[in-house]
Amino acid sequence: MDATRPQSPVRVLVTKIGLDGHDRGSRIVAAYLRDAGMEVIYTPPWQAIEAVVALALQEDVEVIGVSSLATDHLIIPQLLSALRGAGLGHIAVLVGGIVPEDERAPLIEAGVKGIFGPGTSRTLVVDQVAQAASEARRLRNASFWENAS
Amino acid sequence: MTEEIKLSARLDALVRELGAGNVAALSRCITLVEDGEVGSALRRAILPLTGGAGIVGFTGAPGVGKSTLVDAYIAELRRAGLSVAVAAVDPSSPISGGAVLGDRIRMHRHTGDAGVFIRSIASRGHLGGVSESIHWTIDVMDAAGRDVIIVETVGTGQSEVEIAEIADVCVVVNAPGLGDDVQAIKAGLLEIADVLVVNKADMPLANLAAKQLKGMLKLREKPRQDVPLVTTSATRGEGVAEMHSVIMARMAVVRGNRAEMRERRMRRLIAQAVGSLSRRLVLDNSNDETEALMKTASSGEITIDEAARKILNRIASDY
Amino acid sequence: MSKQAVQLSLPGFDNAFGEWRAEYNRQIGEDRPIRNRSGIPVQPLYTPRDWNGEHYAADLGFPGQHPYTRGIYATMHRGRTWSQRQLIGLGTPADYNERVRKILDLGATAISFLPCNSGFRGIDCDEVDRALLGTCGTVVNTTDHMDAALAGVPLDRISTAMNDPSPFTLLAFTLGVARRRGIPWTSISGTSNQSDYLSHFIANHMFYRLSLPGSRRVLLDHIDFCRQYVPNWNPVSVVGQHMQQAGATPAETMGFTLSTALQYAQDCVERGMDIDVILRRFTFFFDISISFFEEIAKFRAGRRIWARLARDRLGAKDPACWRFKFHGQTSGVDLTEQQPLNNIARVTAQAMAGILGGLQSLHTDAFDEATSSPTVRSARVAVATQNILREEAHLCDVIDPLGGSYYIEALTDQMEAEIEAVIAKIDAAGGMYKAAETGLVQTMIGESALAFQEKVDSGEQQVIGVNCYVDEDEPHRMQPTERPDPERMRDHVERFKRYKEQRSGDDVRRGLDGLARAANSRTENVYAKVVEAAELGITHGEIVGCLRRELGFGQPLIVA
Repeated sequence: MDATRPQSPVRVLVTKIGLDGHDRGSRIVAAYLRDAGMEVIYTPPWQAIEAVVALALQEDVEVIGVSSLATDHLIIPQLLSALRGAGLGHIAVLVGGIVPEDERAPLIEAGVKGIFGPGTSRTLVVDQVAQAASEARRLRNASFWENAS
Repeated sequence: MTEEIKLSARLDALVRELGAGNVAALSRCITLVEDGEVGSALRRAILPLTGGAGIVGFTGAPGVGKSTLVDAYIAELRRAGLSVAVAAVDPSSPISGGAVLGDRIRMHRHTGDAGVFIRSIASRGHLGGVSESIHWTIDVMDAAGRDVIIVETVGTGQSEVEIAEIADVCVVVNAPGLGDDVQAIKAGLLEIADVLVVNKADMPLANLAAKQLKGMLKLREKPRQDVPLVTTSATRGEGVAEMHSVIMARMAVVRGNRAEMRERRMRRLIAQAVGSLSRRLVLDNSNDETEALMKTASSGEITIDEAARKILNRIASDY
Repeated sequence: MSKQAVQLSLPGFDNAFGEWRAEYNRQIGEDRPIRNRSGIPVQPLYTPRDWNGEHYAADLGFPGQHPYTRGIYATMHRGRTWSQRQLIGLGTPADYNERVRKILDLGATAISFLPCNSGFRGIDCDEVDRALLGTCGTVVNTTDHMDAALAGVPLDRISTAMNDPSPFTLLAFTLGVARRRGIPWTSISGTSNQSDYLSHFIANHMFYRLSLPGSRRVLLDHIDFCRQYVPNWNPVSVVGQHMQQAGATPAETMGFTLSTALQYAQDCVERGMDIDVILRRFTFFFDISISFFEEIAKFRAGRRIWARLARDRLGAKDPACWRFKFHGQTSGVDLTEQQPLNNIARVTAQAMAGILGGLQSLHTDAFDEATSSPTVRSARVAVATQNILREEAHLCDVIDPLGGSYYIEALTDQMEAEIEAVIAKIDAAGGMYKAAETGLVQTMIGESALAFQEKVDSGEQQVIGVNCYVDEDEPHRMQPTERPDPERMRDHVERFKRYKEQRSGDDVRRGLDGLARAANSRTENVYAKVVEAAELGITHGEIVGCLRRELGFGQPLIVA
């Protein structure tokens, strides 16, 4: 039995950590996801990593979309480990923005599920988020039953 | 172990964690409680734990500074040593069913405080108001031991009436200079207010707005004139302590009727469900009798109301 | 004002036009309607029937004459070329100093300063992960830092654009440096380039530091302070850039920007300031998109509308107030990460539009701007672009060379109508401050942004290298370019920490108390206290932190 009710809308946190403040891209992504029937918790830029973890916990999101420019991506692995530390390892983290080719490997190794550059189409964004959410739900459901006392 | 027993054991553990104040459990329960088998079992399981929280609703037109006021109010509650949960409601798109939820940004400073739990809630197709599930969300927050539960909605659509039925104390927020001052307080909003707030007290027209509201109150019958009015400046934190005492005073009076309020809300929700179910029936199904009825109504021989009653009688007898 | 060309007597015109139209229709096949970014339909041909010079005097006039459509000065670029004002900012103050000295050696008299993102956020360099510092701007948190950044820079002979939003600590540090060097503040010239808090609230949250009412207060104090003590400084730069970058159409952008200028002017007048004294120091800052003709028309219409607003609506008597002075920056939003060298062509087209549109100063983006701060090489290309357009393409030889073009004049008129409609909408909402507060502007921008994105997604708007002419083989991902030297940055942060420990705690307390008191008083000038605090050795983060506590943290309004 699925304790996560696939019928309920996917919940996504769209946020920016690090120092960059340009959020035109993340607003457009938020609109894409809303139009696809998802619920988007949208934050302004400059979120502290601890704040993102607290938000993800309270809002029970399945996916976190991080918009990244400049060198913000250098601290994304810290976000992934903070999420795991808080028992939120099932959440899928996707990165949108500009990440230089040579600096992607650490992100993938840290567990980032996908990196999307500017110009990624609406269809691709929505599909990838939906897929990632689906997997996150599966993991969450599995851990729900695992924690039976 | 059968599925049922397994679920029951799992839920017992979850509910214990919830009652112990575990934030992860609180968050999971809000998601799980909505429907399905797990949801319905959970709803039953938490019911005995509810009843301790005071529920405060905040509503008002866009632009009055509601979220900023709620943020300041949370700070006040924390100063008073109370734990808080907030349900911040935003409308879902009627077309896609999705939503962008940005209310909690205004309450950002409380993110690190374990004594404040904020959940963004989409109205999920409930005509711009709150959905049925908010009722259960509040129960979960109550069962988690939160002292005060704040429900914040925008005062549009039907949400104001629903807020009045969910909350123990309903705070209606206004602000001066929103164009048409009289229009800023729609009749419906004034009706449901247990506490009236004029925010942005630092603005020049604040006193005028307060006077206008008091004037409108005087037009009511005697007992219902007695609605306290507080002026606040949320950005400066002024008037918030006063608002808190007024709310608490009101809360003490109202709390006794919580069970009655809950039942009234249930009745209304069920009536709505009956409405939409029968609507579906009429729209989706047809037979010769219904067709004939449509024709007579079309030609004006019988009124629409009469046609509706005939169909209702039919449904009732079919049931 | 002519909105319809009077029917000239042009013998044979109608017949010839009809013939052309018929032949055009025959050849064109399927002629899909074309609209520019502002939504204005674009015809295949423009003729005297669309515009003629009948109302030349009223609508165009001559350069330097009201309504300044053809240019705000009599000589424009032929007399004095636009200022080349390239943004620079990277790493530590010493890094900035190296770059700026090179630029000055090449004869520049105008410089620009871009602070690190940590500065925009309102914090000091010791409060953030070091990997994030100095990648997009220079880290300056104290007067000492500014002194190092401007070592050997003749402050009294150059003009500086400070890209620093409220509460303008960078200027405060600069004034402290000037005092140390014995340079009178009356010799300091430049602009508070990012003083437009409404545009930050609406469209660039990175720059938005203090609450809306707090920002309003500090800006007014800043204007008042500069008027008295730094009279050659332009405290107000009304910024259209952020809104256009966020997705507002060119017409919307101009409409919103002019409405903002009206709001600030009104606020100053309500404060009791003299409109003629204040308005002449208003400057504007725009993005230049690659919609070539539309941008030219946008600027020409902007000049005309501002001239009339300043004189007739605001009642300014000094012609200096009617002149629409603006700085243009080529739009980074049009640049692509894919096939980055193509961006040189884009920047060239954008720069041309700005120059032909009559700007007063120009920044051209480097071709790799999409990925990070420009390298020395790409920065050189950006500057060369401007020089080539001037010296080789001779864009400066004729003032307003496109004036009189049937298309440009008709389009200028149409843009003017669109812009005025936006201004009217903002007026109806109670002015720009209210419109921003309630989210009206943000909603309009969000819709335009989404509409444009749909055009790109559907392929209706072609973007070379992105949705067409895609080269799968080209390694289109840029390598990380300039990053600040980590050792230098580490030293800088360590020295900063020591500096804070060695300061006089009394001075700091005194300065911050004075600042807090001023913020809570209705009559004291907060900016004067910011300047005092800077001279007492208080840091950027401490100043911003104090004002956030007293005046409110800047929370933008997120509109779905």
